[in-house]
Amino acid sequence: MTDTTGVTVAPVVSAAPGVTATPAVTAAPGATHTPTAATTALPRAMNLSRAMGGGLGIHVAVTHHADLPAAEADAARVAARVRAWAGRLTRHDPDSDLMRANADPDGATRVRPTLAAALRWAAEATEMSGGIVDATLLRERLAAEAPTPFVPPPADLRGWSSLRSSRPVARPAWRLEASRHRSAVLHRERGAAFDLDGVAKGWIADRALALLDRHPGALVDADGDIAIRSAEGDSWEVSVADPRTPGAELAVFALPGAGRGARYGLATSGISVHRWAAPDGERHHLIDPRTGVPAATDVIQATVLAGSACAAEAWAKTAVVLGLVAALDVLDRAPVLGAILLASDGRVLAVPRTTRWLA
Amino acid sequence: MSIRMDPTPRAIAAPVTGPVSAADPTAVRPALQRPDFAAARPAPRRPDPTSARLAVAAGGIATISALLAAIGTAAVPGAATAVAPTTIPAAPLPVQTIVKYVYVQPGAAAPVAPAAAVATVVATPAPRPVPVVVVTRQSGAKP
Repeated sequence: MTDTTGVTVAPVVSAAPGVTATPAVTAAPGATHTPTAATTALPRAMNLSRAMGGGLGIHVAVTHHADLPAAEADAARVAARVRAWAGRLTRHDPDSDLMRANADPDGATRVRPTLAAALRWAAEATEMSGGIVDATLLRERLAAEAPTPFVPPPADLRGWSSLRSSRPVARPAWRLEASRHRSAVLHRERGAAFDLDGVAKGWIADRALALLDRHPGALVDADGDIAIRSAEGDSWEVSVADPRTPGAELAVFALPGAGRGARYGLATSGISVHRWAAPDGERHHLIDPRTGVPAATDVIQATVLAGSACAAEAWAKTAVVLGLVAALDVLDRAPVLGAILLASDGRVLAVPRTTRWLA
Repeated sequence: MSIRMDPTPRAIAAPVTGPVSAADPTAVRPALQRPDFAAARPAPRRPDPTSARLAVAAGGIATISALLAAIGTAAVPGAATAVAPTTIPAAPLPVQTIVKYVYVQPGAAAPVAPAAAVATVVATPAPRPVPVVVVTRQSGAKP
């Protein structure tokens, strides 16, 4: 089937609660795996708290019920570690490692291991996304949040329009120089102020999940960005929230286990929650580094399933910033397991291989 | 383990001064007397190379012309703006973008004949054994 824009389409996948009579559709030619929706779940311990301005959920799967107390203790310990990491990386605390580094007028700043590791991932995400994910957009983000009209960005920030453009991105340059004990020296040009909101949660979720390796399976939910290790015989189900209706869902992912634990990452990015009115119209929090202003996009929300939460988060953000057609094109070729996009016209679209993972 | 080196340089092919020994691999064997097959059969016919040569020449000329044009354009800053505007607006190049995706809409029916390599009906989803407690959502969204 082809729609009016020449786009190849194929309806339909149903993942709505209670809708069980609609055939599922898969689009993974040659796939050897089919979702195992009826898999029996292992016993789980759960620790729910708040961190990073949202909810933090640590779920641990165990083989025997007798292991649950130890799993609960581990979940609480990991939750405390997550809150400590988040405290070092937040832009909302002037005493955080991140904001101390931002405030340092020197061009070379020594940063501690957690911030150094997060910045290394930020650099990798920038490279992976062709510059769309950019951790140096704090000034632009603050400008978007200010109740004043925008100041146009410098002209040299404009002009590169392709994700795969070979032109260098005109953003402040920075680099990390490895130092002792996993710390680093941050070298940066004037104007580079860091905001890790777009890269830290998935990274933290992955890091926390690694602390739960001694358990058969685990899931770390860092305010919607989720890292999962699914044990053989187990399955985790994660629903995708529909931002238009509280409590509704766009789809449900079923993530089966494997012998030594299958790793997944799920993340959702969008422009419908962090959105506010400004003198010159509505604004949101996802800055397009090509323009320096909130992205003009027809993607309301993007959810990406990948092999890690940090990768999922980066690709989800990239999808929203790029807009629907470019996002589908990029995601179709990106190393992701699937992606579901909610368009501004109400359509819910997925890259074809996504359906393999839907419940 | 040491590597044995022979410090004495050897000629690759020593002149033959006597009978050829099978044990001396550096010796040059005299040419064998072979029958003259060429004289016994006609020379094989080869395809006429003229057309191939013409094609290669035409391709080379086109490539060089394109390169010269590109170099000339790049070497003159603002060359594009120096061209007089035309009265016919340039139409955008027809770029065919094929983006594959599937709709995810609860309650809609599956296609009768799904597009090949895009979608295949494989199963009816089973009811979920346990309620979904984990939700991926935009950061800051209320549960």
